[in-house]
Amino acid sequence: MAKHTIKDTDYLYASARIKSMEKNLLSRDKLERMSEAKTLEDALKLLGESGWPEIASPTMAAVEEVLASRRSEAFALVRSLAPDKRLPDVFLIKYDYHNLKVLLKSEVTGENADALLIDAGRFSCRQLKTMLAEDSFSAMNKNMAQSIEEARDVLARTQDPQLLDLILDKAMFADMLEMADALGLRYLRNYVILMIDSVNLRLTVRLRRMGKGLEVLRYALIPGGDIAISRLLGDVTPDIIENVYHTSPLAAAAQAGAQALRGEASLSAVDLACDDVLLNYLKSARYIAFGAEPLIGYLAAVEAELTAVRTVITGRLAGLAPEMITERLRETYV
Amino acid sequence: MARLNVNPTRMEQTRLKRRLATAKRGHKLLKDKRDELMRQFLEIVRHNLQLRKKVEGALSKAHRSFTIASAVMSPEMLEEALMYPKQSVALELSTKNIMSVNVPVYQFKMKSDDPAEIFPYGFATTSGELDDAVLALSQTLQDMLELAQSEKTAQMLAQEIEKTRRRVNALEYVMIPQLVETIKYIRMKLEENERGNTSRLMKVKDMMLEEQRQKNIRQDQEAYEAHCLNFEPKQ
Amino acid sequence: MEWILALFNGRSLAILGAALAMGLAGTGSAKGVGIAGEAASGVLTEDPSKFGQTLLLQALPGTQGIYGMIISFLILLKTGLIGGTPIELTTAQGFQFLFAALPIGIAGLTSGIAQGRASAACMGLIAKRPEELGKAMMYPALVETYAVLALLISFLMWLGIPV
Repeated sequence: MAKHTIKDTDYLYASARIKSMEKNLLSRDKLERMSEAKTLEDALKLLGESGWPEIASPTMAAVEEVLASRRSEAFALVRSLAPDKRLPDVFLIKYDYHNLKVLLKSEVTGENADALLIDAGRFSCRQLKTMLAEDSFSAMNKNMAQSIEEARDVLARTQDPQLLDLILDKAMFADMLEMADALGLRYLRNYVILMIDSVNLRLTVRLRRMGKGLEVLRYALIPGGDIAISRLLGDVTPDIIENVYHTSPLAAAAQAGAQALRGEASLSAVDLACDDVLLNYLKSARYIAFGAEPLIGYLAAVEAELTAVRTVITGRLAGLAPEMITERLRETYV
Repeated sequence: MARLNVNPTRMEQTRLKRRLATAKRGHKLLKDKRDELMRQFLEIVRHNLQLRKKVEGALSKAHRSFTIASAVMSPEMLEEALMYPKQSVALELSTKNIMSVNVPVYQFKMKSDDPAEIFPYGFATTSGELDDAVLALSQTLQDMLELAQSEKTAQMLAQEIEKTRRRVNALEYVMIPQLVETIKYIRMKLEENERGNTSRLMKVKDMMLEEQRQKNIRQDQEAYEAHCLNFEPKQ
Repeated sequence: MEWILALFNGRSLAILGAALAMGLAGTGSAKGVGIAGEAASGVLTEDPSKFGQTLLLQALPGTQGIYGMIISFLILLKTGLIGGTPIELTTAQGFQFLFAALPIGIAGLTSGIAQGRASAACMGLIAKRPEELGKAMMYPALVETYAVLALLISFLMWLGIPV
């Protein structure tokens, strides 16, 4: 039997359903109203009006719980709708690697860090734990298994947790690219590439600010992006950063990065600019009537929404002024 | 004013007088110590205030960065980023003597001298604000330790001042007046005894004189009677 | 050789024309309505109150089938296959009927599917802005133009075929 190739019409039901769910996403207007609401309770009430479940108490823990359940709901929905069940995995890979980092670090520190695991990845936490305990990586792909071995080795030699993170981050993006290729979705692949470029931009700026040498930068930069790594190695001045990213969609973010290097802007402005570029790219899915894109866009939108809600609530809990909060809000999908 | 319950003897008085002299000298010494402690204390407190303002400013800045970082990262990812520290600090504790108070002196040493070695996480899943927060915290560490040191010193000095003040007060308002009172009491008691003695002696003398006079009178009477008998006509 | 002669018999060709007009246009409509229907059920899952609006959009690609049926019916009528005695047709006449059926057949097939997709896309629009139904209907309705034009040409051809 010939392999059934997935056509955009296979997403008819799914994308129509997702599109009608998009209107329940929080708009920027609503988020701003939440940050300006008189009390935190009022802000939470606004969430309730948008169809969110009731949040038991105005604490971060209760909010986080609701955020986690919203996230897993959205992923479960998309997984059930998508013809290819691996579609949401690209967004879940980061949880696998997060859990790996936690487990590998707790192997060294000897502390039990189970509370830090996020049971949302492709592998359940228990699976990952047994795989690490028994050294059986056959269920994983090559990137993951290799990165674990390399990370363990490096950690044992250098005791440097940063290197571990860098190794796993690189493997994570390689995994994401592979997954996007396997799904055969250009939109997704370009998204991952854009993500790699933005991470490379951010880490170049951050490492420069920390005053780290080229060696760490060479180690940290993630291959696979549109911007060749070699262009970021060397004596990167703010102007060079602007130049390198001049033709990329990340040009504005690179400008913010250059300003941060000159000390004229904060790092959060760079993060914000990068996130906005990524979301604007994802937004192009809104003009695609049906196909995988609206589903992917929706997942990204849900994640962006959770971040936005977290920004507002933590900001309010910390007593930040409404302007301070709205200033840090990312673009919204709707 | 209460006085000590002692026997009002001369020996006791001498003893108390010696104690009073000691108490007075002690009082003066303690007062000097208190004043010096106060001076040192105020100096430290002033320094402390400046330091505290500085540390609080830095901490609130770090806290703000941290809040922003925690807004864009999930709490698990944030904690994961920081769960395995890269830089470690060795703290040495020695003491310094201020006016016979042993105050602590902290000295700390970083494991690595590279100031960029404080970031134990990767960059893909962490926010840039976290860098600022960690950096601000690590720069504050020196000041925080100094603050802890001067706070502890101030606290110990305050305790010492309080103790000294209590002693000074005890000497000034209890001990010395008590001694003075008691000495005065003994003196008065002794004088009273003296007076009682004198008057008793005088009384005894009076009594003896009276007795003598009676005796004289009786002797005179007897002599007279005998004389009269001698001169009675013989029958 | 007999079956070839039977195949190129005028009447057989006219029937083939009628069959193609209905079959192709009907397939187009069926696909279009199906596509729109799938999208409509997606919208309805989240918001059952949109039944009326989505039904309207779903019905739009259904017209091609009707046009196909009209032409098909007219051909059958003119050749006397229904309501009368069948007329003897030359091979040339048969081909003429066949060609007259093609515009609505081909245009019906493609426009039906295209309209279905446009309708499905409009479902997404309706899901977010139900008040824009009037405008949303315009887009798939424009596709209809070409089906109508095809119908017109098929009809004119049919008129012109001398029997």
